[in-house]
Amino acid sequence: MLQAEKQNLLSAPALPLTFPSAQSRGRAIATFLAGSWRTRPPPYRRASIDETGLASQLVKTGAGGLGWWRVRDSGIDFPGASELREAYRLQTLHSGIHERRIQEGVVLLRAAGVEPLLAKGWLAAGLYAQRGLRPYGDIDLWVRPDQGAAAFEALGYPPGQQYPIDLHANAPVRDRTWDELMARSHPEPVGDTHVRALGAEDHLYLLSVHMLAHGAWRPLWLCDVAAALESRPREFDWDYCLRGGKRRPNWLMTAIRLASDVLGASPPGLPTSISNGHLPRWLVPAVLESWAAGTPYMHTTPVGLTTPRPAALWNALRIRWPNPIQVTIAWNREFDRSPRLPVQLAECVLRSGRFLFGRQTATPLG
Amino acid sequence: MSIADRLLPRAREEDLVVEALPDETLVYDLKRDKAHCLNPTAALVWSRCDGETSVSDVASLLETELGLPAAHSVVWMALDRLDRENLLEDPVALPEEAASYSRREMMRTLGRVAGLTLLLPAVSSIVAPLAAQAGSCIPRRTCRRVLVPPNCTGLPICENPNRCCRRRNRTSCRPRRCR
Repeated sequence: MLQAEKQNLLSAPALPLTFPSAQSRGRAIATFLAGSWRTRPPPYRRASIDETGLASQLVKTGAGGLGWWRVRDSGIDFPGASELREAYRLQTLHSGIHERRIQEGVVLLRAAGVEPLLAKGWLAAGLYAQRGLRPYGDIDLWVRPDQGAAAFEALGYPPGQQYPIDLHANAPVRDRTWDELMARSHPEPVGDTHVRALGAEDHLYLLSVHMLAHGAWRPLWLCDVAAALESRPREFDWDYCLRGGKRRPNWLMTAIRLASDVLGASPPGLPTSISNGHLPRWLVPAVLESWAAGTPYMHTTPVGLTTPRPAALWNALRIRWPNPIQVTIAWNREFDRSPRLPVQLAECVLRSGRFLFGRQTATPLG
Repeated sequence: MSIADRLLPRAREEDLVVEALPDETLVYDLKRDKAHCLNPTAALVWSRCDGETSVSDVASLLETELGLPAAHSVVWMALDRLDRENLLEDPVALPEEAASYSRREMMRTLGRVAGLTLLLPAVSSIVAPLAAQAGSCIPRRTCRRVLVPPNCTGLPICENPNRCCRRRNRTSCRPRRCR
């Protein structure tokens, strides 16, 4: 057997098998969002994509504002444009509300002697042409692990009741200590104050791993990576960014190549290890399919509450078939040509066990 | 002195988040959890409601800046719309002739000049967002405690198979490897 054929067999698609219609739907989303994070997005020309229901799907997954940004000056009567515009308006307002909330929360934390570190939502929104283009439900703040109790107390427990703040008492990036992260952080203006924000290198890694760990199901998260890449500062330190755990270079390369191959991000000056990297063949179809599906299993009715009819149970299990991207991160594997099926099966067994034995409480990955 | 010279409307400032965009002004009422969109004319009138400028002065300004005829009526109409959405400090009592001046009549008057109808003041409500837009996920305990099962009103529930969370006390949570 030829080497190429062997490789093709090895890079067999991850289950569920790829569905061309789902992929073309995902491709339509990718085409539509390409470059939408930029101050001047490329002009949208009506391509041979099916635009029906696209606006609703974009709004549902948080990319409605970006959709509006892409079509607003195109002069095209895009179906659902008003829906996209409404999303953009609301996101703009929410951004203003969050700015207030962050300031209030930071004042309370500082009064308790806690200096927080800002990352993800608010910080990611700052990577875009306007903050309103990137929605976020809560404000992610990290505090020193030993200051967690004081921070929770300062904001009131449970977090998110009084303030929509998702408070984490740990280092937001693996392979880095809190002090390392703080040393590379920078002051970010938030209204009338400044808050320490994760350095560009650490933030790119966090956004990349966050996207992959959630199975990349939101197109917005890949836009985050693209925006972070294209807006990175001149002094961006690739050596530091790639240095760390065994998987770090592979995971970073994967996220960056995805942003480039799927969304057309064109960041200049990439290290050769990334620009020469290749994505496994199963990966892009998996991303496009999860975009087409639009809703991960996490959004669906818990199995325990599903009607005990065979069809309903079968459907619940089908929806919960592990996402190959998600399990790669969860099981600390590389994105390579090896089939995902064994890991997906193992994940399935683990989840079933957890479901049966009632171990379901989990914390979000930062 | 007419009522238009006497009345000094004041825009509400408290509990509002205002975002000015190039072609519209967005306002979020934190008290009522309502979002509004003001077109340029309504936004201009609202921005001049400082408690010191009379309706007549605002009307003169509209005439100068936007070249609007019947500016008095336009200002009254804007004040009426803003008042209805609780964006003014005090309720505005419209004079009888302004109260009876409907949007349709105004459009008929302004419609004689092409394009001017677009300048009629408009305050529209923005529809609430889908919950699924927000956040990557929420801890299951928050879902159980705060939100309504079965689907947490559309918010995702965190399922990180590598890390479980054991609550130590009411204020902290120790992540650990799932067994």
